[in-house]
Amino acid sequence: MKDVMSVRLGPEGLRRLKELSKRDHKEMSAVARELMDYGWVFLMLREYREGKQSLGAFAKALGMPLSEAIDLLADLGVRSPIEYDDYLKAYATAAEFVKGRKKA
Amino acid sequence: MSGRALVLDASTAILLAKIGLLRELAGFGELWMAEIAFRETTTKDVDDARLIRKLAEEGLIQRAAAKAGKTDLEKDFRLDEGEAETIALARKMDAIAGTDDGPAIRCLKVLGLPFTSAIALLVAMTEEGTVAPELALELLAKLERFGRYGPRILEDVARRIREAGGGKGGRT
Repeated sequence: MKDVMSVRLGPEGLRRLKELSKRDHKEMSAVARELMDYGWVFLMLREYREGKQSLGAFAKALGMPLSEAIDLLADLGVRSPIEYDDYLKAYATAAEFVKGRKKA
Repeated sequence: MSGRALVLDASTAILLAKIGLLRELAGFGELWMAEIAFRETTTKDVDDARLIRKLAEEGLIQRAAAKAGKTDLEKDFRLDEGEAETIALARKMDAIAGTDDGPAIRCLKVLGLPFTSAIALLVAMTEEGTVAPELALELLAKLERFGRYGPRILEDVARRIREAGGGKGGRT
């Protein structure tokens, strides 16, 4: 928290900050920082869901291990961007992989 | 396609470990992971990470690095380095890539490389008889949560598992 920057806020943004500050008994600057963090997570979730970001990139952006990122996506019910036709191709390949290859 | 090794990325390895199917999968042929994907998968000391580490120690998952082309894949397809190295390794080995990541699948399709996913492997192993259909339906419920597949995929998988129910015994 070393850098300081000033940001111009519109009336709606300022109203939201004041409302949250009052509701949660926190300073407006603390509320602003929290909202930035939430906004970052939301943006990453949306980009992941839209297939614009890979799972690894999503996990890295949130600073968490992949397994934890999968758990978070599961908790939030964010659907995987895998399409039905991708699944069909994956199934055909899987069937070839297992076919007659079971080790003794 | 038969005889090819399977290179798993972190997403598919974690999903298969979470539903307890990774060890069984190793019974079908060579499983590989790219070094970076392996590291990403095993950083945290959770159950799936422990299983993946153990399978690597037992030699059931082999590891290799593949630097050539990795950076271009990251840049061109907005992949993380683990996913990019997995694809680079699969290409180098002429292997199948196992991934449950949307952008990675897009990349594999563009490159014309074969790919599969955790849920596809569950169906194939059920149809082959390694997983009993009743168990497969339980594992599907877990994959529904962690894999977060769309309803059309889930319906198709459930149908195929039920259709496999008439046949072989499999694991219970």
